[in-house]
Amino acid sequence: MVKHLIIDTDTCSDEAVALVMALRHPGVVVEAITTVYGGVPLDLAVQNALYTAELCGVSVPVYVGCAQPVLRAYKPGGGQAVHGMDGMGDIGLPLGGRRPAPGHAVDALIEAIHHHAGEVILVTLGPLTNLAVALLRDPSIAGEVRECVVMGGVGIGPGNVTPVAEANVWGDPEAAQIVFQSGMPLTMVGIDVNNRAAVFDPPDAVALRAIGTPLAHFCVDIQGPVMAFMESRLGRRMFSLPDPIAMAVALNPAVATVVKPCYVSVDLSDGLTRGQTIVDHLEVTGRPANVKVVLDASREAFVSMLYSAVR
Amino acid sequence: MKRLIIDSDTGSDDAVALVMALKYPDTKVEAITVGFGNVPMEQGVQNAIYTVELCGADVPVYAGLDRPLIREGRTGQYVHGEDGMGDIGLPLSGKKPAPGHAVDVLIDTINRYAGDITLVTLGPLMNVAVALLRDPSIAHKVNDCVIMGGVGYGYGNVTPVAEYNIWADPEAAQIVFQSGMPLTMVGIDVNNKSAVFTEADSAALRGIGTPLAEFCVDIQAKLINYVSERTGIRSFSLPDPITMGVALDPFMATEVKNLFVNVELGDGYTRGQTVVDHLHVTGKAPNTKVVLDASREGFITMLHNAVR
Repeated sequence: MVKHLIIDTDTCSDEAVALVMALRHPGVVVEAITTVYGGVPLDLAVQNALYTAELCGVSVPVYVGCAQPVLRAYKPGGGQAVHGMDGMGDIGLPLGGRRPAPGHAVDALIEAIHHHAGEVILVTLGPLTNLAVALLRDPSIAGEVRECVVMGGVGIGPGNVTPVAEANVWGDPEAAQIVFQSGMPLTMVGIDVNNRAAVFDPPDAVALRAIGTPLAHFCVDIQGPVMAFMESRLGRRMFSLPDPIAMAVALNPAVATVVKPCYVSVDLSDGLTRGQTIVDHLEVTGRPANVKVVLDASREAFVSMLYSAVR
Repeated sequence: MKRLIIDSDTGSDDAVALVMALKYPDTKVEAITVGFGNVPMEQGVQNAIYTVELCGADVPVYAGLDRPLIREGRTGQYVHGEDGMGDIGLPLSGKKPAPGHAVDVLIDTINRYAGDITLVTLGPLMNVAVALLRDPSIAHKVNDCVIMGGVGYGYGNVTPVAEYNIWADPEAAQIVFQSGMPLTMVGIDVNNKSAVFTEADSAALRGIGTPLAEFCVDIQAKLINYVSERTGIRSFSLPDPITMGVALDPFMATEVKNLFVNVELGDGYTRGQTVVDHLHVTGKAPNTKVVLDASREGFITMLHNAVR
C-alpha cells in the first residue's frame, strides 16, 4: 500500500537529508512539501526544498508557508550559524530561482489532509507554525491525519537551544502548544533521540560519502558548517541528523525502539524554560497522554535506510 | 460609501451595534464574521442572523473559530443570558450561516476592497488573528480596525485590570496589536463614561416605540439583572454600540491618544490586560489610537436614529 506523506520543513542541511530519505523511499508518495521559516528565513527554506527535490529527480509541489511565528518575531541568524548562511553548508549550490507551487502552505496542508483523510502521515521538521494555523482554521484535520511525526522537543534530558528547550519547539512555542493540544495523533522524536542514535563522527561521514553517488556526496557535504559548529561548541568533530532520524520513524515506525505515551505540554512563559516540552513521565498531572514520545531508536535501521536512499 | 466588516461574538450589546451599522446611512456591511465569546460561536451566528433579518438587511453571516487560540474559553452567558440575547424567548435557532469560513471571508473581503474597508471587532480577536497569521498583508489593507476591547485608562471588567474581549483570547489580541494594522481601541472605560443606560435612559429609548427600539432594550434583561446584583443599580451599558458609533463616525471620539499597547500573556490577574504606555516609558512606537472619551450625546442620537 502506498504511504501518503506531507512534509513540513524549514529546509536546512539535515532537513534536506530527511527529504532525500522520503523522496527515495519505496512505496511512498510525498504529496506536498510545505515550508516555514526556522533554521533559515522562509525564502531560503523554499529554495532549499526545491533544489533537494530536483536533485532527487522527484516532482513534488513545494508550498510557501508562514514567515513568522504565531506571536513573537522571528530572529534569523541562529540556525545559519549552525547550517551556513544558505542553510545548506555554503558549498556553492545553486539555490536560487526555482518556483514554488501556487497557493499557501496552510491551505495546501488542509486540502491535502482532507483529500487523503485517514491516510496521511504528516512529518514536521521545523517550527510548527504552518500546522498550528491550519489547525486553527480547520480543527477537523486533527482527526484526519493517520499520524503526525514531529521532530521537536525533548523526550528526556537537555535541550539544544536553551538548557531545556529544543530549537523547533522553542522557535514557536505557541504553535507547538496548539498542535500538542489539538487531539491529532502525534509521535514526538526529540533531540535526545538524535543524540543517542543519529550522531555522525568523521568515520561515519566518510562511510556515507564513500557510497559515491551524487546524493551520498550531497548529504555529507552540506553538513560542513554543522561539523565546524559542533567542534567549536563541544570540542568534537561531528554532525547529527535529527530530522532524518525522525523521518526514519515516520517511514518505518519500527525504527523507534522505545516509545512511551505521555502527556506533553509546552512552556510558554519567559526565561530559560520557554519552549520546553514538559513530558509527564510519572503521570503527576493526571492528564491523559497526547503524544507517543519516542525515547530510543535503532541506529542500525536508520543508517541502513539512509544508505538505501542515497544509493 | 463606507464599507464595513463586523467581527462579533453576538450577544445583547453586539446586537445593538449591528442594528446601528445596518441602519446607518451610506454604509455597506460587507460581512459579519462570528467567533467565540459572549456565547458559543454557533449561538453567536444565530443571534447575528436574527438581528440582520430584524433589520430587513441582506448581509452574509459567517461562522468562524469556536474557541480561543491556545487556552480554553469562558463565555459571557452569565452576563447576557443562555442565548446571549436576554433569554426573552426570541427564536434564535435553525438559521444557516453563509457558506465559507470567517477567516477566509476576512482575508478575501479585505483583499477585494484593499484600502477601502473598515473592520469593527466586537468580541475576542481569534478570527482576525488567524486571518493575520494566514495572510499578514491584510494588516495594511484596512483603513482602520476599530476594536471594542481592553482598557485605555482605569480598571477592567473581568479581572481587576482586564477587559473580557481581550482576556478571553489574549494571544489573539497580541497578534492583532503587533500586526501593524491601523487600530482604534475603544476600551471598557469609554463605555463606563459614555454608554451607561439608567432606567430613564432605557425608557426613553424603548419609548421610541418601534420594534427595533423595543428589541434593543428588551434583550438587555439579563444584563440589567447582572449589573443590578453586582452594583445595586438597575442599569446596563453598551460597549459594542459606543464602539460602533466611533467606527461609523470617528468624530464621536472626543479624546484620542496614539500609544503603544501590548497585551499581557502571563498568568494571574494581569493576564489579558492591555498595557497602555501613556508615558512612553517603553520607547516603543505607538501602534494604537486609544480612545479615552466619546460623545454620549452623539452616541445616543445615532442610536435613536438607528431604531426609528
